[in-house]
Amino acid sequence: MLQSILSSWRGIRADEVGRAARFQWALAWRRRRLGRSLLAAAIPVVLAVLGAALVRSGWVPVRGAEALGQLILAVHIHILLVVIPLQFGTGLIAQEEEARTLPFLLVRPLSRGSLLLGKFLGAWLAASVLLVASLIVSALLLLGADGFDGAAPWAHYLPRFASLLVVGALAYGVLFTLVGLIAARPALVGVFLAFGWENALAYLPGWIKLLTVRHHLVGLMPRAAVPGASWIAIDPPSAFAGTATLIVAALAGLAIAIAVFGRRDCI
Amino acid sequence: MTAVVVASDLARWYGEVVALSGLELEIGPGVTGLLGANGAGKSTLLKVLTGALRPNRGSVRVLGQPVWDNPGLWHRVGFCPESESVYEDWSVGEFLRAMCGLSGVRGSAATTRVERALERVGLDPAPTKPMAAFSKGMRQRAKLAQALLFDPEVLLLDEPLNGMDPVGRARTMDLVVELGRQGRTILVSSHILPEVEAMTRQIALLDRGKLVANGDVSEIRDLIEDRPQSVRLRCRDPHALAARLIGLPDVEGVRFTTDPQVLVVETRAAETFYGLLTRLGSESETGLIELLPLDADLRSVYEYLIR
Repeated sequence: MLQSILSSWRGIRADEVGRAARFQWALAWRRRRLGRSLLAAAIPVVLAVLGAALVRSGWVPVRGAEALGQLILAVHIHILLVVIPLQFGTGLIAQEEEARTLPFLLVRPLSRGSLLLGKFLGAWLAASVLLVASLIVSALLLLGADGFDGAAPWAHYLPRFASLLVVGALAYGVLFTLVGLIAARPALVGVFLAFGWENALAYLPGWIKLLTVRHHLVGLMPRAAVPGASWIAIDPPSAFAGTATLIVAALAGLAIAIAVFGRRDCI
Repeated sequence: MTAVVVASDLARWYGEVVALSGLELEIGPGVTGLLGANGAGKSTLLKVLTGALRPNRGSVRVLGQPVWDNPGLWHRVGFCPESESVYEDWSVGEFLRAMCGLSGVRGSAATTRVERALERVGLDPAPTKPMAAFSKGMRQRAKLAQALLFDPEVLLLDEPLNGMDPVGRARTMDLVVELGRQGRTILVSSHILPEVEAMTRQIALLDRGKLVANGDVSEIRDLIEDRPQSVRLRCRDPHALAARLIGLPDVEGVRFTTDPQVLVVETRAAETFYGLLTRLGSESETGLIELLPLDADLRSVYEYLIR
């Protein structure tokens, strides 16, 4: 297995990866593929618009900054951060196979390793742009609802949340890419992992929570931004430990994914 | 013949289904028709030749190089897959430019290649509508254009004429013939025999994963010894000619048809028989008006070998 991983990585060239990444980036913004992602990214924005209206009306005793913390935790982290990578990760190769467009890519002068890595990077970048854009728009709407009163700490929180979303998209993206390459029904397995495994195990005591992405992600979260949400993790790691663990795990996962794709029949 | 595409002891199976079994094949420059019934192994062979599938046994080489994960090869080889699927959201120009980009060609060099490929397949060079709105025939042309982008030395075409209108079909067949004449190696898979026949006399015939025949149709026909060849002779006096033919060593049988001027002769050695006819005398002596081999065409050869 190790030999297979090493030989797959040996064929990877930076220029080939760049070509594949540009290709996937261009593909990601086309109407059909973009539609569902945009719809998902728009959910928190719509909720932020409604929240901002409520804050302005004074009907609910909540400040924009508090509402923003809850929105990010509930929608960006628990839903979007899982759904968007689930979509791009499981579909990275499977979607090309289903659409029968993979043969066009396999007969281009780039190695399979470069193709997969480039496609992943292009898709991850597109997903990160969507997630961060959704975060910033939501923040502007909710913080602006009460005239940016109490918004000062968010100059510190927002970059932390943006990093969390980017690192989270990387980790979940790799996980779902692997699922897309290995599982017979990637969407089903992906949904189980995203909403079953991650939700159930992240909050269990003991070592088993270490096997979830979410546990490590919580380390990156500025917890002061979400007061009263101490239940979101037991013994959360530090920001550095969480980030390092997720990046190392993602690199290892990518290595395995490239080795799998490098040896895989594409029927 | 310099073999450009070589398969040696090639075997590929899916579970218990054997798709290719000990296939030995050599394809040289020019156009070769890859024939076979459904399930004969044509598509599997093309998938192995394009590195989409790994053989379970044996090997394939194209232009002397192994195929599997050999990116350098794909500057020199073009492939047109069978499926009519394309990137639906893209216009054909965007699609071809994306394929150029993946191959490391961008900017004006890409534009030149795209325009040339589109012109060769007869598609509008500046279309903006997405390929989702393309007819089946236009999709085929778009796929063919991507295979031609880099002026490849080897072209692998899987059912390239499917769904094309008669004009597109004729244009594509002319293009394939022309490319073959230029010395390129072209392997065209098809199950429509007249189309293959219009492009080439060179065939590779697969049956249940094995190579049944490979070479010129006429030469293959001559080798099918258990089936005498039928030759239709139109002449002024069929009965007189029949009398002269019966009993000759290369003549297996003679029969008359409803047409009073036609005689059908069965022979196991067509070339020798044609020489014999010449020796029998001039046209005025035999009354021979027309000579037509009845089953030396691709369809007959195909049917004799497969059925």
